[in-house]
Amino acid sequence: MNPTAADDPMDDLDQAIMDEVAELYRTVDPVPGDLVDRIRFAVSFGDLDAELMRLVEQTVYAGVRGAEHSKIFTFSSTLVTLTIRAVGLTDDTVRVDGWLAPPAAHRVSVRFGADRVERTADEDGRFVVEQMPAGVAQLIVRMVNETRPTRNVLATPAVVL
Amino acid sequence: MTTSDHASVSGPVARAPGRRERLSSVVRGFLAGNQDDLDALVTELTPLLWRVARSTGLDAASCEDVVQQSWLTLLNHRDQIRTPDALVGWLATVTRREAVRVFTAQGRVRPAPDDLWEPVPDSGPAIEDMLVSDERRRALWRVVRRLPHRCVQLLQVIAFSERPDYAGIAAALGMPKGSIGPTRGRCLAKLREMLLAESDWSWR
Repeated sequence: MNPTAADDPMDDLDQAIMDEVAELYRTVDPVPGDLVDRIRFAVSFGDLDAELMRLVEQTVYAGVRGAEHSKIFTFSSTLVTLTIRAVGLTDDTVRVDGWLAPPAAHRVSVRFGADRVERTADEDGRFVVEQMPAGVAQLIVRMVNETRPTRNVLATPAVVL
Repeated sequence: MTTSDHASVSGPVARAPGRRERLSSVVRGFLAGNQDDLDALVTELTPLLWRVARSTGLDAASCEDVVQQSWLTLLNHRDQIRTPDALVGWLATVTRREAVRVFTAQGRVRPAPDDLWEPVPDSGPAIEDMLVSDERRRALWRVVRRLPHRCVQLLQVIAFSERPDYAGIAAALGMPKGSIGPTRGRCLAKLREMLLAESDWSWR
């Protein structure tokens, strides 16, 4: 037997060192506290056949001298690009403006916690959520007049608005 | 595979069979569409995927996006996963590929293959920035930071893996399947040798 095969047992000392290396990394570079929850939220939207949008850009503008802080996210998929701007209204609420390109009157759900708000984009592809809680949210786009038999639902990753 | 001949080994290896069976049943549940099982998988495997992403040198904020994207990608491609054993390697591969893509898109230069046996210029927080009071752990971190790039990459990932997944992990890291054993052995030997020179280290 090859003494260095991948599934060879390590000796006790090697195994003990590997355990300590794991513990070391849990200390110096842990999984960010809310990441697992955010992912569990993101995968719970209930349509496993939705096309997943990719977060391609995010910009955070810190509020300076009384200006509101805002965040801009751009998500892309094969057919649609979605840009949203979340502007802080109070400490714990935001206003969300969204643009779909190419423009179309798609249905948009914004999920947060166990709740969601539904909007229909106008013919320019724009939609607004006047006020919603700040925090983790996910957008689901249901395309209208889409001729594909499946994948006419698009889902973004969960982001912190 | 039998595990009886490993019975004397302590740590995660001894726990492997239980975890393995649980993971297999959870993967089957997920493939059958069970949301709770998907949640359990996310909880169980995200720490490994975090290391796979971070081992590429990509910054933490970008790694959060990469790891989440990997899980979402899995939803769309779950029909490609035929066996529970294939899942870990598949997720690790997707995660690494995406992390490397983002890293490159940020204009960062990945080390040339020849440099993989050199220490990493910046492989994490410096010792003085660490909120670790345990001298023993600080000694280990000092040593790990001086290991060759390839070793740091491999050890941090397999420290969060089970042995049956090594083949899939090797593929994800772009290492030939047959080289993971020798590389691990070489890296551990080097780590042990360097630890011997650390006065703050003691073998427990």
